Amino acid sequence: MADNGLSCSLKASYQDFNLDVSFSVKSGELACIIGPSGCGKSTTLQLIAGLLPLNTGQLVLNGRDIAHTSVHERQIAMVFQDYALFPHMSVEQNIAYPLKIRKVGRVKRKEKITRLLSMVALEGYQKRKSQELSGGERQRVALARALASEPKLLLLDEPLSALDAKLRKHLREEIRRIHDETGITTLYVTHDQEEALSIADRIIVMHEGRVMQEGTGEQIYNEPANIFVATFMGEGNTLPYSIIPKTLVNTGGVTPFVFKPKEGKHTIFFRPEEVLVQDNKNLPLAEYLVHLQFKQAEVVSCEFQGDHYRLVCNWEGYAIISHCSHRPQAKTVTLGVRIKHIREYIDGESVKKTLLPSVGE
Amino acid sequence: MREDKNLQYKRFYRVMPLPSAMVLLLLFFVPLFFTLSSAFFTEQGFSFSRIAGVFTDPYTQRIMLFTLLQATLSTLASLLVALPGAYLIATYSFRGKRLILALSAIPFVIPSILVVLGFVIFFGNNGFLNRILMALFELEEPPLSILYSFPAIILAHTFYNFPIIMSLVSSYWEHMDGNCETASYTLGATKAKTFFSITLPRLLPAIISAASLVFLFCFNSFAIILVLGGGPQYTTMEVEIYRQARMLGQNGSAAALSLFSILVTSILLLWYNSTQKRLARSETYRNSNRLNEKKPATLFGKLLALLYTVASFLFILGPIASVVVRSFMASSSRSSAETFSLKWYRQLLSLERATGHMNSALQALSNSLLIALLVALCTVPLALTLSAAIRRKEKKGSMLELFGMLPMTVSSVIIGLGYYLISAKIRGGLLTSYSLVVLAHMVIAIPFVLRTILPEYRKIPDSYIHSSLTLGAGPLRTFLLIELPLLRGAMFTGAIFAFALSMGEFNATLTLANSSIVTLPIVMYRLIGSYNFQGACALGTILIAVCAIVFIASELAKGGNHGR
Amino acid sequence: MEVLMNKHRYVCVLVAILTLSFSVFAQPAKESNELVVYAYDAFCGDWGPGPAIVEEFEKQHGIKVNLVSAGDAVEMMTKVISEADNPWADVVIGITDDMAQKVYDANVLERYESAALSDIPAFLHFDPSYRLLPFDYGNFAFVVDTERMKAEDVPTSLASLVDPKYKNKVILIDPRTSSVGLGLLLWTIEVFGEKEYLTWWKAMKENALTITDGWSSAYGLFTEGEAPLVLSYSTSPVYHVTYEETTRYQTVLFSEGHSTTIEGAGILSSSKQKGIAQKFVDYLLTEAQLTIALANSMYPVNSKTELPAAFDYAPKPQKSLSMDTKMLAKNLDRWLTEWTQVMSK
Repeated sequence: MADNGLSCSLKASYQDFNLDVSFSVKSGELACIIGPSGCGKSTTLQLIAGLLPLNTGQLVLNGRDIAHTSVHERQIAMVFQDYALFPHMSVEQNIAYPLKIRKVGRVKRKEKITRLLSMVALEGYQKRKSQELSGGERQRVALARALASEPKLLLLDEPLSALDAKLRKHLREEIRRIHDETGITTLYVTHDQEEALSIADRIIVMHEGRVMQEGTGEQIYNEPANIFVATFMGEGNTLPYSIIPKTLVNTGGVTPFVFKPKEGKHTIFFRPEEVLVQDNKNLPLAEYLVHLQFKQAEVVSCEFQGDHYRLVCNWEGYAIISHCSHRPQAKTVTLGVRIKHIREYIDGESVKKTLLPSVGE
Repeated sequence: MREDKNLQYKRFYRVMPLPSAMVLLLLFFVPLFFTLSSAFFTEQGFSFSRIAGVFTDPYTQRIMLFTLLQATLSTLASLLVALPGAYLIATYSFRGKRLILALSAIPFVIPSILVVLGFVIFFGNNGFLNRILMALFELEEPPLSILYSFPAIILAHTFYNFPIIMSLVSSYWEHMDGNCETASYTLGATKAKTFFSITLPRLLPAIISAASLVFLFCFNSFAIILVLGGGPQYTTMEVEIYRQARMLGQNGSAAALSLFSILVTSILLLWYNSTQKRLARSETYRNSNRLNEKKPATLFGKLLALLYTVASFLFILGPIASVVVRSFMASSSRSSAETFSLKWYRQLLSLERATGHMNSALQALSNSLLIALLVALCTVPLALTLSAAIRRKEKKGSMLELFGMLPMTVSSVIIGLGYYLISAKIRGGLLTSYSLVVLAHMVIAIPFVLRTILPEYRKIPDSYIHSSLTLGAGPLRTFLLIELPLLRGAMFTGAIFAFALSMGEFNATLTLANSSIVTLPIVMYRLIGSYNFQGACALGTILIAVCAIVFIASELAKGGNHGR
Repeated sequence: MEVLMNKHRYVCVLVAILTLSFSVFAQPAKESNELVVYAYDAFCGDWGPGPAIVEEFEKQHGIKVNLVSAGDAVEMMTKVISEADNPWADVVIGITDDMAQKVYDANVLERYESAALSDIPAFLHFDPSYRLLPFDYGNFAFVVDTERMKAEDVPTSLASLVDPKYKNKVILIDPRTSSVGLGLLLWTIEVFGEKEYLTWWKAMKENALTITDGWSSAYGLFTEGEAPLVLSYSTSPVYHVTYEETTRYQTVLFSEGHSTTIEGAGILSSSKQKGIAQKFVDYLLTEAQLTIALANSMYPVNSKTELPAAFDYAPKPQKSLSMDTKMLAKNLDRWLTEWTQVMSK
């Protein structure tokens, strides 16, 4: 358990599920909890904030045990999904709220409010009422208000989920920027993987009340510890291990590959962007390293994504998603993926890093 | 939604309902307990026989059914009349809107005997309506014989009660987010379909809340049913309780009957409560700054608004206006024609000697005003804290809610018996009497104010409160700075009703006050009891005028704060 | 934390108990030499006889009188009975002869044979034990609005009231909720007997415009012109003659006779001021008689009282009917039940 920052181990039992999570966030880090609806991420935040009682577990913030401290003494600020701006107060009064509690003098207050508003790019909004603001503006006021309380930990509960895509992209950058400026330890909950991957220093993936994997974005994306994380964080292809003999192409590669089927549900997984697409029947697949080749995959759909095409093909009953730089001319294509981009899972758990056998096997 | 059971705040919320609990306990439950316990004591000692007898007697069952029937029909009729008005008030801004709202509590101010009189003066066989029609159409016999029938009961109850529903529902409606309706229109639904499938279900918490008040009132209604119904075939439980307690002095039987009533109404209340809670969860709060408050656009809309305004003025004001007009008419002798005259007012205000000694009616007025003000000021915080506690502890909350509503379920005769107990034990000077009267009025008012505040309270999203807590404000501060300001409208409305109820309260005041505390209703009853009906009308007019001023003033204050 | 919570709870309960017991046992010292008189509300009001009488008495005897309004007659009686262990009143005014049995049974009144009784006719001495002494009385009678009914149509007997020509022209009062209504019920029993009185009532269902909860509503409807006949007292016209200078409303005398109601006053045996109480009762029965009669619109019991001319309009019936209190107490429940059964169909 780190000395600084947040470290928690929470166990709680509810009507629909059981929560058992344990993780830590370094001081000054922006960590993201991500997971599908109902996995317990909001509950986790509420437990940390103290809005739900913690019966078993530990909660330490900056070396202080806060498991039994009252909500208003934990110095943890939270931004809610509906922003919860007080409707009977203006923007200025909303932000002044935590300052008044901390008995900040009037002059200093005004100063802070101006500073905070400019930090969130809402200069001059002091006198406006919350009903007059757009969603994005409200979110930023809520953020400014939370920051005004100078918290040791900032919790954000799906702050961007109510906004449109472009605004989301823009605001998540803002959030990252503000985080860097203030250096406050932040815990951010979302169900949008793109968001998590783009701004978090560390990602915690949750599912059914448990932590599935914890790590940096790269770790999570490239080395998913289990099938759930693999399929949740971005798209992927899951196929049974048994197809390897049929599709393996070893064109005089350096290291021979050993096919070793194991007990239990043995699957392989690879990302769409790692798949090579060859739509010209006359040309072979331009892959010279050891790879799996899927011949005569039938093109089911082709979506234009702007910078690439997303291809869904049917190969012997399995759907394989791949990315292509152009729209395939033919109805069937050949797909290929390198061994080193394939991960192996038994009963959902990762076996080792890649299919490449390690020395000595 | 998970229960907010944060341990540290349990203490705060446990303390909150204590003041109201104390008041209710001392001035209601304890005397009630003693009174009702007599139901279990027969000559043979403790026994259930009396209760069993009451429950199984077919006569009692028939009366109970009738009481339930007339209460249900009256409530439905009131809803029917009130909802269009609530719609108009919540959606449009039109002239006279605030006036209607301000006057909607007036029926509560008037003691029921004047209500009856007013009805008779207006709708009676010799009433204004009939006389006008007879003059217009040159008829011999009065064309409308509405009164002295079952419909008359429903009519009178509707008159008395629809303003409450209108007021409570429109206030809730205003604060409702209009997005669902807009979504519905875009999906192709007509206005009517949207109203019935979308809006109405969302309004249910407020509707049920108001309807339960009205139902209880009609259930325990007494004079209106007897006089305007026309005969004993419309006997209700209250009449039977009255008969047992007053005429026969059989408190035990009266208590048994009362227990039956309380049981039935409590079951209904519990059912109401559970429905309401379930529905209130999903509401989102919106400040009453309706950005699109509009004037009725279409001709249909304008016509509807006009029609409704006229009809409601007729309804609300007709009987009241009759009383007012009556008070200005006098004749030098009964036999000659009546002309406009200020005679009764002169008498009341001691400017002219009438029968007996004259204690200025002004003193009664000031007493009433003082007591009513105190009641309004004290009941609102009590109901507020009770609401806060109910909202927090959702499970135990419904018991608390029932607790707060019980004063309305009990027959006023039984409560009166309970008050005898109190006044027998507590005897003191003027101050004690005043305090007792104020407390008794508060007990009567708490259910109303509770019903006004609770639905609004439930609409405040948890996230506001959580937000405030995480920003560093403790539960007390959160309550004062966040919850309270958002409830201002409801508190005002509740205060108005408490004020009105206190001004019109008669039974408890009579029992608990000694002769030195005289209130307007008491003087009114005395006037009526000594043949001086027009004097009573004059006093009633003064009462109405004073209340109208107070209500209009508070409507303006309420409106100002929310920038309506 | 839990312990703290429990502590709080106990403290609150303790406080509640203390407050309750304090209020139960705390009593202010009773003012010495003050006479506490309970009377029904109309008596105490400005338009009732109470204030004038009290003022006069205080002037004459120099004793402070605390006139306490205790609701209507029935409520007042209930109050007196329920205060038996903690009595306050010295004198109680306004218990009528038909309700008196309950007060006798409760044994709270004391015998007092005032000297003034010699001036009161024998038929008004309704309590042979003189726990209650009469101070005014009245006859139940129907009052007619002469502007709405022609003289030849006015009924002359109770029995004639059932004539179809009176359909919707009579306002009656419910005996379950009003002492005046009860008076009518007893009147019909006195006239028609226990076997036949319900026949009269059944027939009256047609003729009654409505059956109200109390005298106030009934008379209010009457004066508003809803119907030309109402159940009231034979002395009602006195008020209109005196204060409204009109003879429009007149008493209808019935050949069968009228039922009387006598109001009584009594001294509580718990009183510590018996001497003064007795003086007060004497005063009630003598000098106060005129004021009472005028203010209450009832007959004085003291035959020496000189009544103003207005009382000519309150004719006395040839026959005065009344019912034995014991018989009343025994049968009232049954009569009311029978009545309800017949009338509520």
